Amino acid sequence: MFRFMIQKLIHKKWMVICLLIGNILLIAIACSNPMYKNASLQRSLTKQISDHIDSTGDSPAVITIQSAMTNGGSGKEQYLEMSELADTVMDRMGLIQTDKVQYLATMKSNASSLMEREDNRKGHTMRIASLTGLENHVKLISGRMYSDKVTDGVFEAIVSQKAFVKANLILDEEMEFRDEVDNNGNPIVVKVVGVYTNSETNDSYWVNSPSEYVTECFIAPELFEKQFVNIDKQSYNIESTWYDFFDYTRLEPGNVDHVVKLTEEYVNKYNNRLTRVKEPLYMPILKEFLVSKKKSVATLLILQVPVLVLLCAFIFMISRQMLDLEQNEMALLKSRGSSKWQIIMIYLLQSSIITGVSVIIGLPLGMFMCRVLGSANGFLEFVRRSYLNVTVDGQVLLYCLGAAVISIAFMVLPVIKDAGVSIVNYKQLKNKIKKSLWQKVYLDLIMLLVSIYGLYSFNGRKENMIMQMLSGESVDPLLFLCASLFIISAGMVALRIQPILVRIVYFVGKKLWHPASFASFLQILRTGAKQKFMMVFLILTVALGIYNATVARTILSNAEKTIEYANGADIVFQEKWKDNSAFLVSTPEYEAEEDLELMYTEPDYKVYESMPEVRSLARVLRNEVSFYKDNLGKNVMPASVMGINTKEFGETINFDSSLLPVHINEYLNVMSVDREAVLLSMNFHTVEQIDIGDTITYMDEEKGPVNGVVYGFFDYWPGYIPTQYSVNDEGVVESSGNYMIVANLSHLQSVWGITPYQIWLKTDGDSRFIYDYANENGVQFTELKDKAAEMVDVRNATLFQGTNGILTMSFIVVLILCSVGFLIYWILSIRQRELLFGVFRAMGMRKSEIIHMLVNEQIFSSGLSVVIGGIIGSISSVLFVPLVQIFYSTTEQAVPLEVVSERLDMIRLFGVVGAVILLCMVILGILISRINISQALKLGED
Amino acid sequence: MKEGQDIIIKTCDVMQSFPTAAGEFVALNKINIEIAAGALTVLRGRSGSGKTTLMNILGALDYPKSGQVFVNFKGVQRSGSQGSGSPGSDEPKAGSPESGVPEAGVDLASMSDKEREEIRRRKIGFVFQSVALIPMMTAYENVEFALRLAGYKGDRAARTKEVLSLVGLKKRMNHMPQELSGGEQQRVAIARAIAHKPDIVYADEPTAELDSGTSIVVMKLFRKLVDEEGITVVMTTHDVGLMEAADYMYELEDGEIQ
Repeated sequence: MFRFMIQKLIHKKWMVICLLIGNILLIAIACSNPMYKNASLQRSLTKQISDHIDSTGDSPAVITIQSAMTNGGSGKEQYLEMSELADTVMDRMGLIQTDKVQYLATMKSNASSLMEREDNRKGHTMRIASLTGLENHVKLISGRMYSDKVTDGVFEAIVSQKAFVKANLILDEEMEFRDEVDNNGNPIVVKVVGVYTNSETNDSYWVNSPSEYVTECFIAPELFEKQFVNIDKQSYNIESTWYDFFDYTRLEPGNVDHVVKLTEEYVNKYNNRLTRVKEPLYMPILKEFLVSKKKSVATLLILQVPVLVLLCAFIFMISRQMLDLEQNEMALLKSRGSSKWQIIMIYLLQSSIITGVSVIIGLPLGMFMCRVLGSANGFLEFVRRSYLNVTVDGQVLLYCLGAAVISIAFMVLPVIKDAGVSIVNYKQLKNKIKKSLWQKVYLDLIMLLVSIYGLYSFNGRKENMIMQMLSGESVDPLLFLCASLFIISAGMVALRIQPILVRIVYFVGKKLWHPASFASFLQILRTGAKQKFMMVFLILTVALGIYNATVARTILSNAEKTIEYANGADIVFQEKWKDNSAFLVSTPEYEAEEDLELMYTEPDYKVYESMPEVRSLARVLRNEVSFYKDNLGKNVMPASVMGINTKEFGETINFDSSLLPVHINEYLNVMSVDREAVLLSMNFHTVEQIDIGDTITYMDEEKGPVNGVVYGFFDYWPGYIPTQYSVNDEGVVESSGNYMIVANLSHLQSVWGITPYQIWLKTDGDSRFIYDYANENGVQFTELKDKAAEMVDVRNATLFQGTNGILTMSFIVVLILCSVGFLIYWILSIRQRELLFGVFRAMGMRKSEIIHMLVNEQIFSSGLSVVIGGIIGSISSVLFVPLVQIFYSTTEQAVPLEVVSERLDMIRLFGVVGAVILLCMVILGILISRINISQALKLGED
Repeated sequence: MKEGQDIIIKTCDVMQSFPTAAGEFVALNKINIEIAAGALTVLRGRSGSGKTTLMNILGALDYPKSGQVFVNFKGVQRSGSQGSGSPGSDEPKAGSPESGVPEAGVDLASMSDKEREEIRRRKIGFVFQSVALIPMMTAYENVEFALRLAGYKGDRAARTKEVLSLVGLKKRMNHMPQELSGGEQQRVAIARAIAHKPDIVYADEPTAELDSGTSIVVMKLFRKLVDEEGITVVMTTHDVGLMEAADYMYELEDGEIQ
């Protein structure tokens, strides 16, 4: 049986190779999903935490647990409980512990110096404390490290530099803590032997910086434990804090949920005088991560579904074709007494071998695909980027197993039906022309209608979907399903139209057709059913290609436009201005002059103007103001004002003028006529009933009121977000309208004086120069928006990158399937028609005419499919992309969504498809020219 | 050869061999035969005797290793530049038929592929052993397609119906091949082979796949075509019973004429 199977496989090597390709791709794609997801999420999680460290200097990768015990012994159980928690919390949360530090301290009490002091300060508020591992994380700036022994009843201690200065201590000074007495009733004496500072500035050990320990006299931890901690008979008031550090780079995305839940539980549970788990700094980061994770994971899976379905269909189709060729053998086996189950077993074994080989190749291919995904930058666009750290874990193997089972099922399924057919039935069946089931029951039309209904209902729920997106939901799977359904069903409906079209062309020139065309038309019309599957694949390839390209292009372009619009210019920043505020506040040593005003020193903006990378520059003042709803200023509402110099503003901004009824320069020109002219956002007109020509007043609390004459209203303006969406604590989305006033900067400055303004730059695309300049010259920015950097972030985000990667990969896979399917179909078709070609040739048809015939067939099957695919792809893009796009927008979505397709994508797409068809044609041409007429005719005699 | 009968084909030391694992296999050795116009010639032999090989060479489907095949087709000129004129015309340009000297004919073996295609298209009709109708065409279309291919100048529809009624299948002409019986299919193939009025029709074991009753019907049809329509037919067969119908017969054994 085994030998029979192997021979069978070798005999049909081309089919087997096709099956292998399908299976390998199926397994690779299925495995790449969890691999990519984990690796990419890991990367983004690590990046979020390290970004936090970079910007704040604090490591959030620590859990802080506190406990207190009194000398009466209360808090004993709690102390033990918290101590146990501190020991086990890392394991419970599944985190990798890097360090654990315990801080122990007595209550603050008066410590009086035992030295004769000139200043006669009687004592200081101090406490005795210990910090485990302290000796490894300090640099002694004077004195020495404490000893871990008590000598003559004196505890040696070190203090922070700040404590040393604040308490005005002297090295080797001894202090007596009268409230803390030893077993004999004598006060504890501490001797300050050293002054420390932290050894490294970025040492994560210092959750609280050394300078925060202003009252602590740190003694050796062992000594503290021995003297002050006695669980059975506690005689001191002490408090303890445990710091559990973990390695955030090894925090697994799959574990984050667990960590967050457990942390929340502890924080809520231990929240009293004796026990406390502090809300860790990582919580907001992880919570935000969970939202984006949920969205990414679901979206990536949904995006992969169409290609997985297609792969299964492909495997099914090839198995089916292979079976068709094996019907003879199978029926023969059956007639010779093999049972149905024996036959099924043969195929099961065969499928298992194919799947086994596919797993061996597919798994590494999946890893490679992850790398490719990680370097996706756009549709069919890749960049060099640091590799994703791809690992194979249990989840990956599970996906792999699932894919393997599915693929075996799809290979064996068609056998079950056929296994009961004997040679007699087979010959009878062979001569029947079957109409596909889907055509009989109009499944395609029904599916098309369902998808159109879905589209209609989604369009009606747009508002709802925006809310869903904002609360962190992923693309609605049904929406994607709807789009896929539309593409597939429209393709199938088109297949009904194709024969009609061919028939019309055929009948139009029936009398005149060249014999080759005549034969090819009849070939398409009479044997077309066989080509249907091929055509569906071609249509889907092209349609999915266009659709995927449009989705990828649109979400990126929309993200870019949103950033561009919200920022206003390529680079927007505000330098930290020097001012005289130090002189405005009176201190004991200095009495401020009463009528002194806040004055700023304006930095030299011309520096930026002269930089070679800067094309133009604009100064833009942005200020929150109160808008007077009445003349007296009693009824006010918040608004923001933007002060501009119209000419430089117009030259610098990034703005799509199609957002306004006339070009933005027209608005700027109107404004430049009158110094007091203002332009208002449209809601001033629609909500506040203000009209052109009105005079308005707005005021800054400190700088005073300003008047303006209304010259116009706008819906969109660079940097103006009309509606702000936000998610409140209950997870409900809230929206609020923003009011904006655009005024002349010169007018504002004449009233308010020179106050800090933003600088907007139009650059040649690069933004590095601004960072270099700031570093070299020590310039600080209070605000910096960099379109180029933000775009890089967007492209790197798991969701966007994964989307681009998966859409690109799906397309490539579909293309591979299509070309393999195309080739196998035509090779088989030519093999099957060798006798026919022999007859044609015998009747005097030239090779060129046979090729002409095939080309004609191609035009009306493949060519038509490409055209149909193109049309369906375009229609589905227009219909569905605006909806899909919603899920990629942000809370700052201001500009209207626009479906974007780039000509380059289309050229690439059709180029690749065309090349595949051409390649196939060349291979077919070679095959045909090799047909030997007498040989072919002999075939027919068998 | 009967008196006054024209020779349409004459072969001259035709040899054919194929490379095999055991060395060169000689399929045909010094074949010298003549085919009379308007007669039914049978090539007889066991299977593997070389009759199909010889027929492929006569039918311009294959080149011989050596030797010549002179054909004396209407409108085919010695220079080999046939086909440029009016293929369907009856002008006796080539050779001198009345002399009956085949040397005046044109050598098929020295023609280019293109010229041979032209010959096959217009001057030759084929009937194959396995019924080689074009499966996606109806009986009518099969015949009409041959007319198209041959560039038949007359009324194609009329001619198609004419030959189909000649083989007695006019009533079933709109059926697909798989809806016809084996004998019917072979009759359509014969109709297709003669439709464009070829100079010669080759039939390679046309009855091999038919039962004896049907075989006789087909043989009678060939006989009728020769007698009534004056068509030249060359046929291979191993069926002794059918040979009575032949005007001439060559017997082949191991690649040689007996």
